[in-house]
Amino acid sequence: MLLRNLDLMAQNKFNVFHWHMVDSESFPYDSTTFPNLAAKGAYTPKHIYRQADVKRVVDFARLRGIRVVVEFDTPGHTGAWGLGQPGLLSDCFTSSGSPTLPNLIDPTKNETYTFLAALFQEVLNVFPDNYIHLGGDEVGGTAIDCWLNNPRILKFMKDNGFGNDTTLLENYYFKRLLPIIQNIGSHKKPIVWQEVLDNKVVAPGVIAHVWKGDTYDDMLTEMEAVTKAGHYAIMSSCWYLNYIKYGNDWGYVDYPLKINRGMYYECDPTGFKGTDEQKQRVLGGEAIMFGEYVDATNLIPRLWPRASAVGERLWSDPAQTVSPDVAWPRLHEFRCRMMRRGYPVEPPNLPTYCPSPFEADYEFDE
Amino acid sequence: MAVVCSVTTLAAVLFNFVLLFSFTVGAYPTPGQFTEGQPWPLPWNISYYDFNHTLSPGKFNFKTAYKCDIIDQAFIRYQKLLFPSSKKWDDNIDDDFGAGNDADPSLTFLTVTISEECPTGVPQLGMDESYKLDVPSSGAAVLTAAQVWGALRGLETFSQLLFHPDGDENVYKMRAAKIRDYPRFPHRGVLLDTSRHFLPVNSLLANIDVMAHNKFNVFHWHIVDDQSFPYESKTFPNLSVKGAYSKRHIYSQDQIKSIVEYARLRGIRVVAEFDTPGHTESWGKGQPNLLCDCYDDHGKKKDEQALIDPTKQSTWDFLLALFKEILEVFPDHYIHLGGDESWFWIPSCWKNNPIIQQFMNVYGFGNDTQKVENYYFQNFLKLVDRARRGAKFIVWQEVLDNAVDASEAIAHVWKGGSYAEQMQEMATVTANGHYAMLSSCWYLDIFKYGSEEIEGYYKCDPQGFKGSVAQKNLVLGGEAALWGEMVDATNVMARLWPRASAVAERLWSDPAQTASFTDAWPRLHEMSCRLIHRGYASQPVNGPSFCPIPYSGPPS
Repeated sequence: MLLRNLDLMAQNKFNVFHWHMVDSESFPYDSTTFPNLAAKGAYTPKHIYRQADVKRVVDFARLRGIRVVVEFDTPGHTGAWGLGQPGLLSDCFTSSGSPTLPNLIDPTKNETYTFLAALFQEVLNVFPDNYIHLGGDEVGGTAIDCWLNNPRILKFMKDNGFGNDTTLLENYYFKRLLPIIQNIGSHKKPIVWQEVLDNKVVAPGVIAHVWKGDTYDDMLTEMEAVTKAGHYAIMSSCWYLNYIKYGNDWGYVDYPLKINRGMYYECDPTGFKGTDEQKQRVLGGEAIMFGEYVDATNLIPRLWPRASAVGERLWSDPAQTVSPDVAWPRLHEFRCRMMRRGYPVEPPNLPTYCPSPFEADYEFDE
Repeated sequence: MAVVCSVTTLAAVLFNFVLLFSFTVGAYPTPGQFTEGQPWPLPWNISYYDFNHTLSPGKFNFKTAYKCDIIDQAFIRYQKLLFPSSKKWDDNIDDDFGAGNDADPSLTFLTVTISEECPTGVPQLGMDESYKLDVPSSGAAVLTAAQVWGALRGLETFSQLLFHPDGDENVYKMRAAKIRDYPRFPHRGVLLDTSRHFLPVNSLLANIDVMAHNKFNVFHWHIVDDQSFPYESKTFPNLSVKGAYSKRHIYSQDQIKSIVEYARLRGIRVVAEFDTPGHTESWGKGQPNLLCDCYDDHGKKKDEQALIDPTKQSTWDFLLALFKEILEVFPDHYIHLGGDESWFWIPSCWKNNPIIQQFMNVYGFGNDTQKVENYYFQNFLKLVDRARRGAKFIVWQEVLDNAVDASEAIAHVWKGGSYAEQMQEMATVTANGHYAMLSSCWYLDIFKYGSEEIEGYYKCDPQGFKGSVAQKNLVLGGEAALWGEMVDATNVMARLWPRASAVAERLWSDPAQTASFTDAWPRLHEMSCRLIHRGYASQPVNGPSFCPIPYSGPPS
């Protein structure tokens, strides 16, 4: 399924597969250094990417001119890591003191960093891209239960002069993680979700992955701020394609919240008011398909051809691609082409037809 | 938030998989929460024995003394559903289920007994779908039903008692249980729209299969509409020649016949809808002078023709001939005559149209275009009866809301924004003495992000309004509607299933036993995974989750 998707990405001239490999719910990456991570953390043995599988994906992508940038998101979003690596996550407690689910790495232990160094040593070799996505998103809420409410960690914070400010502990974590990456390979550079840099972690050369903002204006404000602070930036805020809504959202559909409202074709990562220098720091963007409601049964129709709108925005001349109305006949032809090539790319723009209908390959007795 | 897609991993199936952590991240249920061997929809009476049978492919048979093509075909189907051999698009499943074949089975046959004789025709409203299924811990397994339709439902339930523990496809276990089952409502349908987007025949057939797995018993085929006319009429061939999207977007009469037969073998009625007088723009392409010219408010003719012209005799002649043909092609006692949303075109195409204005004058309708609509239906319904004596109809609710006299007609309720409004519609329609079926809360084409959606579908109840017993008895059931504006064969399967499964249970099962979506979820999850195992792209609907046997259906 990943391979079929890479084919479609290539047809759309996308050049990066951002592989959000693991998260709280499951850990499907089969680490040779820490085999228990997948043995205990994957959904089942059938839901695992073996080293051979990963290599196959990377090679397949290479032949299509597509980079594979893997993301191992920490310190949050790590619920599944703790199953195969006891002691990695901190114990969490509600405000009344009852235990709750561990979902945040314990940054106070040295063993944590020994583990991370060994894991990333492997990962940075398995994935040959110069960039590694380190995640770093959405620590805030979990930090209350898992850091502040954890007496040992709270003490650590006080001892280190962080007071009650979990952001400072988060920064401490990244200040230790980034040099680890640096040491493994000086050519290896991190991408992080924007809050890591918003929190003023000093990390020159690191790319900010911008995802915040409820309205289009807010999103552009984020891009402006991030580039003004001197960071390189890639934008995803307006391209959360997993947030489906009824209608032709590839270029239309306008509800109050931009993240939910579509108009993928319109969104421009350099659309903010800023200096040329700021705009130069915008390296591009990514269409996002988080997997809460997505698997092999619906990935391709849900992603395509909506992502094709993103593809054109990131490739083409903005001056020649202003109007979705003008673009539609060409997108329609392209949709039918992908479909004719055998991919179940869905109809994005109300009643339509292609020269020949799509026929799924069901099995029948007849 | 990992994208859990299984790249084709190697075949070795491990026997012990670690039973996963049972915590909930965020508001989602545990990803691995599913039942094993529990049927969907929930049977009215099911009690499990504390025993699981072992089955073995090659050592199991269905038996019956009943001579009927429907049962013969069903036995072949269910043999394959119980023991699938390697599927053509999955190179990971072993062709020979080694260990499975060697197992010593404790259950080797199911005997099926049916009282009434084999029907030669298609199922109709009122079909008897009740059955008794006994799969005891020891002794013979028996399925009994009054009619063959009940036997089909029972065979489906039987096939759902089977499970593969821990996702091991080499091991076949079956729950022992005693089941007495029948549907709550007699009309349980799925609407597919083949005009907004064409759906090829194999897509309709595959969905009919999945409907059967969910015990739906009506395929409501919204076959033509404004955008295209794919129905190939022998009497009026130009309708599809000029009105279909292309000659590759057409249903021939032979194809339709095969679909009706395919459905029949699965106990599913095919109720066709030819929606008039609105929703007919494509009709005018192959039948000039059928539709009215439309005018703007300044009397200028627009380049548009819509709404059937009720003032011409040629209209009635055409409709009579067409419906004579349609009612032969579709043998169900009911035909869906549409009748919705005329108000959309009436201002331009009737009110502003000089021919209609004159007509209204002559007939003394004054300014009331509603009277023109009523005139249309009064004549049209008589015509349909002439086309086939005793033909019964279903109409979208407004036809009966507008006090057209049609005593046995079924009102198809689709209006209402909120659940409260939808229930009010049901109350009003039944208070007016009409039979009713509900779709308002089940417009599956209007999808939303999140899990609230499936819970909403599950909870909607066609009898959920305040009303008398007499009113509630007028509720015949309902339909999950998948309008085709954003749907074609690239995404129909995933968009329809398992969301329509929630509707299926609401229409079949005991409401008292199916009040909680949270309680139903593990069983719905098993059902979704069951459909996946059978090769259908049944999508995730309730947050991060997985199936013990990952999807490996047609590459989609």
